[in-house]
Amino acid sequence: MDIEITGLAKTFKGRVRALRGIDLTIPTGMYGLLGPNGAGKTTLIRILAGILRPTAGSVRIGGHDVTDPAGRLAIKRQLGYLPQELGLYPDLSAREFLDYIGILKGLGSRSARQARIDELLDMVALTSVANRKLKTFSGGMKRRVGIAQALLNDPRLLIVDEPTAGLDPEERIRFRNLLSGLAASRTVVLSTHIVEDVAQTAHRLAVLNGGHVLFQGSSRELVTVAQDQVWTLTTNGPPPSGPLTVVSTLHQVDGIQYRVVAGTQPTPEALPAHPSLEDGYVALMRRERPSDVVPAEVA
Amino acid sequence: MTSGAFTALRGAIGYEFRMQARRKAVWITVGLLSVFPFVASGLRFTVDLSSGAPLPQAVAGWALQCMLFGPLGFGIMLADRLRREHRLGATELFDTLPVSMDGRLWGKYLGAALATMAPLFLVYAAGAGYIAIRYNDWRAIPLAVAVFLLVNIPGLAFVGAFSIACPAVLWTPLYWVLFTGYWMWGNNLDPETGIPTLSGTWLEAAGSATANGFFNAPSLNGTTVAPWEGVLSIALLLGGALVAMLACRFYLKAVAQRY
Repeated sequence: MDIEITGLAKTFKGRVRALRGIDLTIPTGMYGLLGPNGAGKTTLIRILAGILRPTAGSVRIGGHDVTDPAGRLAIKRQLGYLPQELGLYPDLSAREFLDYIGILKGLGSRSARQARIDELLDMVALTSVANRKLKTFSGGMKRRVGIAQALLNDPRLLIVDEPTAGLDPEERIRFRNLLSGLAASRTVVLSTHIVEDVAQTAHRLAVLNGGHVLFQGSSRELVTVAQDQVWTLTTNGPPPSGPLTVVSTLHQVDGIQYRVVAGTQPTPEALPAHPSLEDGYVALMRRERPSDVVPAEVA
Repeated sequence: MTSGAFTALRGAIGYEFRMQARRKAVWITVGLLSVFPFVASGLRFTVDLSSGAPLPQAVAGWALQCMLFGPLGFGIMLADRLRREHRLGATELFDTLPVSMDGRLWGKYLGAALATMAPLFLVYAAGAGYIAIRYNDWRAIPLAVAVFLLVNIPGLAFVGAFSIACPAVLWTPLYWVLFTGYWMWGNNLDPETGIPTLSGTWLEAAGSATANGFFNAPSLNGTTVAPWEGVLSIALLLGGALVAMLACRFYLKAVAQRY
């Protein structure tokens, strides 16, 4: 299910320009949306999900126009959505909540719906607690209920907003693996500011900032943005200064090891390093904000 | 209505009923307020059961007694249902579902209202059962059902609709205060005081026009009304409920259009 976005703009209350003319093509498979807080990612995915209307531009999902009520309904029938803040009914059990959402998603047959719920509860490893009330669930368990409800109608488009926020490392890995598996046969839009989540799951991505698309392409292409700009240096002295961004600081026995992104070799002792996706992201942001280049800053 | 929409409505009614019925506060508040007039009067029915009053009058009098304060709890406990999704952060998810806003709104109204009136109905049923035993007349049971449908339901539907709709535009605690004032002024104030009131009129939600018009139950000011006035009262109350729900729907759709 391809998504075509052309000239998309969204302005709130006539003043706040959250999106400023976005052009994007999102193919089938896993697609990452990266960007800092306030970049416009959530606004974009809320427009894709039919919650917000664009101020200008067009969005077509699987051939359906998001601005048309019939198109929006057709999209919602094929949509699974996991919002950043997932509100659950605390007094319902996980099974009851999924049953309710299933009914509202149009799964009319009780037996088919129950079978689907059993299947999803097993997929997200919640079968043993399915009849417990949601108010007793941990954050990670609630997230798993969230992904289960998003999959109830076997959607062709799955949109997840900051799905791993607040999860412990194991939960985060489980989530990523689950999403990767789901992307084989559907479009999964993963919106996050955690670069590692995209690095581990998506080959194609876009980076938003200030309502603009700074980058769209493959992970490899974003990594090359930081080519010849990543250095490591170990020192017992003051942190490196100058036009650079410190990406990591690691205290070791023989000193403090810094990994920096800089246009030129920051010190004679600095050694070049292979860039990662995070380095590429930082390098991209440095290009976007040249005024931040002069003072050294910790990413 | 398509079968899918009907299934969604039925599902919404079922789960809204379930969630509301699980609230202990609903049972305590509505139950206590429904039985309070009976207890406060020294366990006496409005119509003296030993006076030889006709059975319909006794049952309808008891229905009115339950409606003195019961609907006050009913309205208060319903008032947070619409805002609840927003408070829980569930609105965003529900807005992405293919179910219509109508299905969700009517499902919430009908499901939550049915659950909230359950304690009042149980109190009423207990009293009606006692009346049936005292009169030794099995016809009291179907009569009690008819009385509840004609006297209690229209007023509860009216109160329920406004309690769902008004918090869409009013801060919920403010609605509680205003609603309490309305209920006491519009249903419990004796018209003989000379203060303009809805009590004793066709718009009185407590149901005295219907109880008096159909079953000759004693009204607050001792007046009697004709049966057609009871019919008019039912129509006005149910019509008022429909207007409130439609206005709420119109408002929510307008707000959604803005985004």
